[in-house]
Amino acid sequence: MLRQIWALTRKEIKVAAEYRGQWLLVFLTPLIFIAVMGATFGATGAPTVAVYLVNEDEGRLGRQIVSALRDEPTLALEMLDSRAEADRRVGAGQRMAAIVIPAGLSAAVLTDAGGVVEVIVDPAREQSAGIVLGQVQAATAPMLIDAEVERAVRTVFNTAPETFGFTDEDLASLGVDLEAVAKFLAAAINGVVSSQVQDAIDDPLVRIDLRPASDAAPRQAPTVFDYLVPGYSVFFAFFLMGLMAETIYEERVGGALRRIFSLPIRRVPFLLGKALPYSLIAMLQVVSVFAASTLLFDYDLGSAPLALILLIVATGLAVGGLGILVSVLVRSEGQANSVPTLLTLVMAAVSGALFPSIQAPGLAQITPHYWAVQGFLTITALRGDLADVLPNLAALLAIALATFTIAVWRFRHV
Amino acid sequence: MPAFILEARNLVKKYGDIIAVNDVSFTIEEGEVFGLLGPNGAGKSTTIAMLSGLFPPTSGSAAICGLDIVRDLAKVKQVIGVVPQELALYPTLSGRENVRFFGELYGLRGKTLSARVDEVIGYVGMSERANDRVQTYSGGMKRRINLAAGLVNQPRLLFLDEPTVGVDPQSRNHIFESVERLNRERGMSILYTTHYMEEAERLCHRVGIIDRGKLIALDTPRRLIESLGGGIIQLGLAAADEAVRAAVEALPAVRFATFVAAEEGAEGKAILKIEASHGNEALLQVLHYCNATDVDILSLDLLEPNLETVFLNLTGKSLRD
Ligand SMILES: Nc1ncnc2c1ncn2[C@@H]1O[C@H](COP(=O)(O)OP(=O)(O)OP(=O)(O)O)[C@@H](O)[C@H]1O
Ligand SMILES: [Mg+2]
Repeated sequence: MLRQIWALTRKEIKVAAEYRGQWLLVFLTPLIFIAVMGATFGATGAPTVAVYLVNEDEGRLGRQIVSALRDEPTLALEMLDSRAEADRRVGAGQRMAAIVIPAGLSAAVLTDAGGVVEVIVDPAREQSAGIVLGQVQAATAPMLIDAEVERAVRTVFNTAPETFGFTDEDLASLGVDLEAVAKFLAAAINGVVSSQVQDAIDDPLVRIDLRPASDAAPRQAPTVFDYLVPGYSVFFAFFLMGLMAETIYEERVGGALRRIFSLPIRRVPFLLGKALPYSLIAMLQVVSVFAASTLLFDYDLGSAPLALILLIVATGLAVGGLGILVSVLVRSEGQANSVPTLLTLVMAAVSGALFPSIQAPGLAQITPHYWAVQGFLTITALRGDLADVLPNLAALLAIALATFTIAVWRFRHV
Repeated sequence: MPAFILEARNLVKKYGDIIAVNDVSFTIEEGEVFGLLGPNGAGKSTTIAMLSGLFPPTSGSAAICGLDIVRDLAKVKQVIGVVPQELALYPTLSGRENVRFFGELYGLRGKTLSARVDEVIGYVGMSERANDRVQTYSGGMKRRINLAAGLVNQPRLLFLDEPTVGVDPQSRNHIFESVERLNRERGMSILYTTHYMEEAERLCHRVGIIDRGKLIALDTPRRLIESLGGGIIQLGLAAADEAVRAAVEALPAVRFATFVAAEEGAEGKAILKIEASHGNEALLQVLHYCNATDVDILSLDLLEPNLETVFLNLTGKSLRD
């Protein structure tokens, strides 16, 4: 059986190799699109994401965070008055997320309990919202380090008099302005911290308490290419479905199917031998588009190679599964020529692969594109790892398995 | 008791209301070349499709080498080879790649596979062009590779579905010789379908004549032809006069005489079909009778005694239109 699948796969790749136009479409066009779209949107760095912002904090830190977020070019902010209202609106799907700076944050960060900036996300668009989270983290990180340092220094000063057996009054009488010293020390430590941010984060003295729901720590705000590269790579990979439908249609009318099924072969190995080669081509396509993009567009592949590879494999399998299903269902040449292409375009559009802000809520999740593109984004721009993309892998494999199973069920060789 | 390599019992295949194959029974002996002769749409390919396990019969059964074609299909497929009516080849692959691919699906590999591929390609005389793409071949060359692909598993029973359609005389001859050699040198049993009666006459030990799904005659070509006796005379007359028919049938060299429907474009003319026991004598007697009784002859056709005539006699149609 394995030998049959392998024989079918090699035959299929030889047959597919003849369709030069398809290879250009699948391998080269996405790069052209990425380049053109990148140039168009490159000025703003990344497509803007519209989110709500609520500032309930009276203190300095709240104002600083607001102004930092305002400087973030990828966020289009709309201020709301209360957390409750933001929560309701996000829940209704009006924005993918709301950033909430809670009351008393400035004070809270100076206590041991720390403070938390909250990001309310639309569960239906949780993964896109992860990007917002990343941007909030990126924008607030420096101020939070400030706050941490300040808190640490105050803690030292508050406990110091008891430790050393003298009081504030004693110091004051010696001409020491405690507040001034604290400020000076904080500034000094801050200087060290700023130049060694990573060390500072690891240093228990300046621990960052503000931990958002996701562990993803972005290297920076996502660039336009973080969206475009996976989006267009996946979009064009699915054009392989058309080639699958066409070649199987030709085998049907040309009699090859009749001959193959007068040989001792079952339909599962036959369909595997039909789907697998296109899965492999799709994987190769994603690999080569990503590789070219690292050179051409400074695309950053993140730091979870295993997760990346698994996601590429799962995406390829989804292409093969969905492609074989479509190929089995089309029954005429006209259908073979139009249905897969139409489906490719519609799926790409609703999934947000064409452009992340154009996404059909609720519908997007049934497309493999959505899970693939969001998964790639999580690994690359958001620095996620394998655990972060497990849902994406599961969804893609489920789609591949379900479509393949239906294809086996619906397949007729005569 | 002869060893039957194939036994088909009451095979029926229905497509909705269409009965493509209607209660067909026949046997093929080991080492026999059996012909299925019939016009377009007779049910030849459908019969082969059922026997080669492409789909099960609607009813009826068949056994190949004693194996049931439904229950033991996997084993049946190992001992049969199929050469479909369509060119079931990949045009952009070479002849050799095509044959290799089908060999691999049989589970062949390594040296065995290569040797087998070379052998069958040599057998059909395609060694020189084997590495060219199939799309660059002539119709006849494609047919030869099509045949080679059906031989790669060394089948005991080979199904050849109209293997000479669209073929030049040279390739046609080559295919004939291949079939004869396979049968003679390897004792391969062959089910050969065609609508060319010369092919059936030349190649087949026995011929089944099939029309509209029904097997209407089955015998050796010689006996089928002999059953016609001296051939058929078709006499065009001005009117279908029963007295004339009876008189003609009474002639000594005539077996039967019947009026048949005139072909299109020949309305206003009655065709008297005369089955002769001795062709030339019957012709003389008929002409003499017409002369003597002043019956006007509008047309006269003398049909050779051959399978074509047998078919015409049985169905009133010609094999090809
Ligand atoms: N898939 C199908 N659906 C409906 N009817 C079919 C189908 N396949 C064949 N038929 C019908 O079954 C009958 C027998 O067809 P078949 O192909 O067996 O004839 P054939 O003897 O091989 O003819 P030919 O010489 O043209 O190849 C025809 O009337 C045909 O229209
Ligand atoms: Mg046929």
